[in-house]
Amino acid sequence: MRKPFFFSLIAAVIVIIPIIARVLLGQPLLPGTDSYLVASLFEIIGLSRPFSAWFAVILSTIILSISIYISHFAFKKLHLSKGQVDATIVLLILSPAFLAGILIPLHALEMLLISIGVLLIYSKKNKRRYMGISILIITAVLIIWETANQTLGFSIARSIVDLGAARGYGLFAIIAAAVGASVMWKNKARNYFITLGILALVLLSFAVPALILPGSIAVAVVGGLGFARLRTRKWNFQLVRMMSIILFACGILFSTITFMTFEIRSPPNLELVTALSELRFQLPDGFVASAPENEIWINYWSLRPFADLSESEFDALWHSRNLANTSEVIIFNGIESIVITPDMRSIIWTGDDEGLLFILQNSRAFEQITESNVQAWRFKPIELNLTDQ
Amino acid sequence: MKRRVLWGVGLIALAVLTLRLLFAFSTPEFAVDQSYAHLRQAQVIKDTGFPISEDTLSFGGSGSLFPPGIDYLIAGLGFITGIPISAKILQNLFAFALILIVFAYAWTATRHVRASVLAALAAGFIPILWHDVVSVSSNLLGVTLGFFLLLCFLRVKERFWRRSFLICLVLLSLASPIAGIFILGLLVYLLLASLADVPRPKGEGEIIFFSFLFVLWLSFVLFKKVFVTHGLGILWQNIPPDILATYFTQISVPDAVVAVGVIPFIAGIYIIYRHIFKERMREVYIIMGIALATGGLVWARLIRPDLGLMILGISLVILFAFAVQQLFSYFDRTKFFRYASQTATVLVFLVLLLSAPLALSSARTAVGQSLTLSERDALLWIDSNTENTAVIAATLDEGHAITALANRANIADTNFLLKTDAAERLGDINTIITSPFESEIVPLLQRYDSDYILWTDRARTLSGKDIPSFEMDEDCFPVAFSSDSVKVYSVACELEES
Repeated sequence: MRKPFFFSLIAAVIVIIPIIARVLLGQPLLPGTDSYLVASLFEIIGLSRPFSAWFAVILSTIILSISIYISHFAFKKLHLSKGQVDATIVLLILSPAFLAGILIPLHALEMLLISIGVLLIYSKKNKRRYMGISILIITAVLIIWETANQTLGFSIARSIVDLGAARGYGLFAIIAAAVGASVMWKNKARNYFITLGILALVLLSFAVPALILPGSIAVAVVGGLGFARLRTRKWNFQLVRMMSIILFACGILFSTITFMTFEIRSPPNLELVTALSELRFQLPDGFVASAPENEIWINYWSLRPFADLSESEFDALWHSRNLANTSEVIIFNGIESIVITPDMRSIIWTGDDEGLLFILQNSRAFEQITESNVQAWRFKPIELNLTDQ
Repeated sequence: MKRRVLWGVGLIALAVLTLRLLFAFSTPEFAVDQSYAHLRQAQVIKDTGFPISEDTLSFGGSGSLFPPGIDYLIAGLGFITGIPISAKILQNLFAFALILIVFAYAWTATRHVRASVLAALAAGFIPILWHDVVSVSSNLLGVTLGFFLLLCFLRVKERFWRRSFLICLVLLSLASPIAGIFILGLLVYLLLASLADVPRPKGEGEIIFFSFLFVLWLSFVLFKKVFVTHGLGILWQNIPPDILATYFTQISVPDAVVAVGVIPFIAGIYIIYRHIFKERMREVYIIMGIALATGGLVWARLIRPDLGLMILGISLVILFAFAVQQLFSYFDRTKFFRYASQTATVLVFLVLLLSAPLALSSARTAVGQSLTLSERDALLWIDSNTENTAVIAATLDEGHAITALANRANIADTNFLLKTDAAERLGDINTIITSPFESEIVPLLQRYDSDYILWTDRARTLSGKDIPSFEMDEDCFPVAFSSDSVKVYSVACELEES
């Protein structure tokens, strides 16, 4: 019981390191967008800021920590040796997909469900097995639901953290898994299907990002086998053995640190949050138009509803220099203000006088509310003169 | 081995070195492209001890990332000889060392004096290696260390050579990004040798596995930012699509034969054929591994053909030694054994006749393509007569020469890594050089705060015009410097915003 507890404690400490680092650097507590949704939910049930955000973090940490505790027992059921279980747990804790659970509460929940499901499915009692199967089916449904909101397409660079992916596998964990897979392949014929299944899952996750979490668990299990094999096999050159194991450990840590750095530097930064918070007192009450990435932050920090635009409306609003077209979209969607963040100037436009930027500078239909890095403009339909282009 | 054999090989290597140095010092300048970037780095290292990390002149100011091995070596010798001489000596010393390494490999593998000496001679006259006679790049250093790595690997069972392998691996990884090609070659060797059931020493797989991990790990440590920024695009070095095809051109078989030498090519292919179907020598399989890996990478356009041909050339020259060994062992079994010396002499002549003229022609071409004295004068004029903040518009190839000799910022050069607007800048340079409309040229010059345009033969080739179209407007583009075919135009007018 002491070892599982120790590992779950370690997991809790590691997942919370980036959040602590953000606090120490003076950045907003929560990076990304998903965690703000959860924090907003807690505000609905009565928690005030900043406790709602802290509560979201602590809840995710506890879920991830419990999932590691349960995983320890689940992996034992897979007939792994002590060394293999330990290596697997360490690889899992250090995997970027697991660490991302603190930013994406759904991932933390999926992690917990998978660990419980695997534990129950290997139980001797039929009732528990059925319960395990049911939990895994629920997890699959959650993953499919998550897939529906994601862009699909095969990409290696988008799936490996060391190559710049925001979520993905560590490269050295993949290499460890390749070693583990070769061990499994050599050992028993019954492992062929398992090995091929894991390979298929990992390859599929390169196209379907929602599968990266289950893929990471599979990679951790097979990688654990590989790492344990590297330690226990007979080496001809001890110096090479020692250096290879050190390199492996460093490589895996390197991926973890790379991912943590992403988390620490993820938007929103303090400047953006301060500007959006101030807009709470300056923006009119109606819908706000901004880049889709800003939706949740504008909801959370500026407390304004966000205008969801179709693709054609998006083009007409941001890329058109025709005031009539732009105004039509604005009026149709009930948009009362427009918020432009510094990132948008490079993502949506390439020059300072393109599309809406040109209209904002040259038309009296918009009144500038703020002049900081985050610019806000109020739309004034009364003064709109359609010949003014 | 007899001492006179060693002396003989030493003399061949020295003769090649002397010839190469004669070509190298026939011009005080270097090949444009990367050479001047290395010279500048070496100069900064000599002055400060550290390389340039934030380059204020390249691309008008940008980050700089590179494996610093070659620049530190040049800077080290530069304390005695000065940077330019140091660069010329070192670059050609690597070619000298390669001859000795090829001989050592051939001797270790064949124990055949004539085969080893002939291979060393052929290595001295691989045409593609002579194209680098006035260049400074980490490629030749990387190739030299890479083949020394293979030499150490050949005797990996012995403790001394195993340790040498590990030390060489570290040096190679720090010196050149081509370390990965050699590790890939060893992996291909491992695969081929396993498939063909080639007898191998114990622990060889462990060494290759460790080397793979080490090179991968070090690459990620040194170039983390590049990997995160470009992802797999790092394979194409962020080269803009417009010129990607010229960097990774597809080469034809006749071109490859000319570049690596006719005799080594034929002999090498014959040895590969024999060892695929009849024999199973580990020493040959190691070279086959590297040759196949390099060939595959060139075919897939993942490495530049000149680098690929360099490695292929040396690999084939080593295989040539095995062919010569087989030829003489065949003679020993026939009445021809009496004519062994004469046959060796004929082979020497054949190698010299078929490779040396191509090699010397390659060197002459390289010297001809290096920076001219007029271009140098123009760049030195810019250095002493323009404001320190001036930005010079010139062709892409001349970018590094501008930062190194004129000490002024360029619009773009060939260090594309981490540059987000490389393609845009390249397009703008092409417009500035080729456009007939001032209304197009002036706004672009204003965009980069460019104050001068350097007009050389390279600009003429790019534009297809002897005189730039903007020269007609002397008020707007007065000639600030002129010498032979090189002119520097200053930019005297601005486009006013309406």
